[in-house]
Amino acid sequence: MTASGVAVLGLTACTTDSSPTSPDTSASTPSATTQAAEEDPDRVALDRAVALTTDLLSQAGQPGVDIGGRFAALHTTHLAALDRAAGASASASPSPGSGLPSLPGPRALRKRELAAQRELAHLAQEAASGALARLLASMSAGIAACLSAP
Amino acid sequence: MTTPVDALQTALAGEHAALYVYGVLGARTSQSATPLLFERISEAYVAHRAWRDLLTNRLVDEGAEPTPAAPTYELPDTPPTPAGVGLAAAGIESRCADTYAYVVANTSGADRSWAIGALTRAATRMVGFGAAPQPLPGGPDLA
Repeated sequence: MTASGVAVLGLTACTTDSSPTSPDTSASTPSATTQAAEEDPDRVALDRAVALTTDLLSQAGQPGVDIGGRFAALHTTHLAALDRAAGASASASPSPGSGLPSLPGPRALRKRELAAQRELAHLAQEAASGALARLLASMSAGIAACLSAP
Repeated sequence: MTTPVDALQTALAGEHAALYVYGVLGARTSQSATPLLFERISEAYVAHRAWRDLLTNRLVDEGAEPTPAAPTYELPDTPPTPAGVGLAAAGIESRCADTYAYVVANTSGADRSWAIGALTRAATRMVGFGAAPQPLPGGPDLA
């Protein structure tokens, strides 16, 4: 038998939820979405991811910070994916500040990216929805990959 | 509906395949001529072997019969050159990333935590083997 085991690995997203846990509310700031968050336990995590990514994109856009625009392109892709995940209301949600330090320079950029990568991994760990967990984990891995690139 | 055990079985099948292919790629890599590539292939082989064992034990703990390795696996159609080996290795990691992301979606707790770490490691390994960084490793359909 020739098993195409590697090819078998290409699997699509799954919406299965398992053992939902509470999102990390400590990472959020109060907002008008509180009621929505009660209805959707992942709303806080999603809003936090949008805030983080928006902030990273804004800071990467400053002159001399993101040489080659690698991180700006990354976060633009991430924001689009988050928008799709959130549906039409995503862009209407207020984006509180990310809380990440806004120091200038490439070294500070790497620090911010690393902090965001870790927080996204944490949000993925805590997400109630498997689909959202997958997206957040993929974003976290995408930042790690970008940071590891020469 | 996919259960956590189903997802872990899929990941184990992927580790079997990855180990097989890495074994072949290792044989196509020269430690003296391309020491960095050799080191990266070796490191990846050791990591995937550890994950195979971890997943096997995890499935046994769940009372499941771990998916066995197949006798053989389809090999990447890449030339046996250093560039070809790197390309093939990046391809393995890309497919593994898809699997780990699938595990993230279908598990919770420690299993999900492992899968998040494995996904991150696969994404950085891909870059180490010369691939461009992917914005959404394991989730190309999300982009």
